[in-house]
Amino acid sequence: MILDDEVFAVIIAITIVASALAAAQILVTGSGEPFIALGLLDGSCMIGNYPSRVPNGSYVDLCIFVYNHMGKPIYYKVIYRIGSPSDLPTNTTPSKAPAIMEWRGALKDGGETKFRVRIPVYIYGSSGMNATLIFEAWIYSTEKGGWIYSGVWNHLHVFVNASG
Amino acid sequence: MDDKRVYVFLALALLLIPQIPLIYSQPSIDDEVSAVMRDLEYLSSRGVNVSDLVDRLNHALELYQRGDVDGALNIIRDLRARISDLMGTADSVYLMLNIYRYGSAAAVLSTPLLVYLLLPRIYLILWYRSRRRWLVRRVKK
Repeated sequence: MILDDEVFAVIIAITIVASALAAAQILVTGSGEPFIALGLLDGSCMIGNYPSRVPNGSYVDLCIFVYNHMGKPIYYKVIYRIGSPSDLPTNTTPSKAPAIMEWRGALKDGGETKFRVRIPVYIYGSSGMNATLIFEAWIYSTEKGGWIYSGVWNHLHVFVNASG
Repeated sequence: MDDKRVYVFLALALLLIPQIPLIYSQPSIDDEVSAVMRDLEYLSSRGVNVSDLVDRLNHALELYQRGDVDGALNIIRDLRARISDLMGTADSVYLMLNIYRYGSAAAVLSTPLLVYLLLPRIYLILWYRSRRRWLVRRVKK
């Protein structure tokens, strides 16, 4: 035979493996493990230059980044709380600190958004103390008909000066 | 005295009862948005492109957060109309998507068989074509 048998066998084997991989890529739907990502950026929507000292009663300019990889469009909200390091949420339970502000939006699957926020920082008390600015991502569940904590959060530790 | 209290209570109840439908008839934005989201999730699962609709919903939420409730509700009402139009086409889109997906997979999986049948033939054709102008000469001994 002009075409060597062994060479022909190797070509067929490579073709079988390649076509099986290609077919799997075509048939497997879904984008893998679903998740939502939340990012906290500075006032210019860049990483870095986060404030470390904030006068009490002032406002801080930050930027929030949200990315949807849930495999479906989502209705989300980001809740802002002020607390202490002991008030940090976990990946299953939200923080117990009171909610100060929230921002809502809708994102398609694979979609991302960045938006600037101006958050008040106020601690009841006289002299400076440490505070934790907490941002939690919540998703509206259409099956359960309510908001569900996604387990994703960001926080920023700041020292709150006395105002003035 | 007790009769007087009963009359006051009844009067208050009569005043409040008609207000209850008013209090509960205004839907919250969550109710409106959740209904739209349910449909968008369904359409997305059927392969319908809902990117524009989600962007419009996001815009409605931005308006709502700025205080423009009427503007937000108008957009949501418009979205519901567009979604109801798309609902009719969702099943056919899903069918076409599956035909394309399984057809592509079948075409790709048939490649090894085609290679097995056609590669020797093609190789032979090319082999002969490359030697077409060769001169074959019988050497007399």
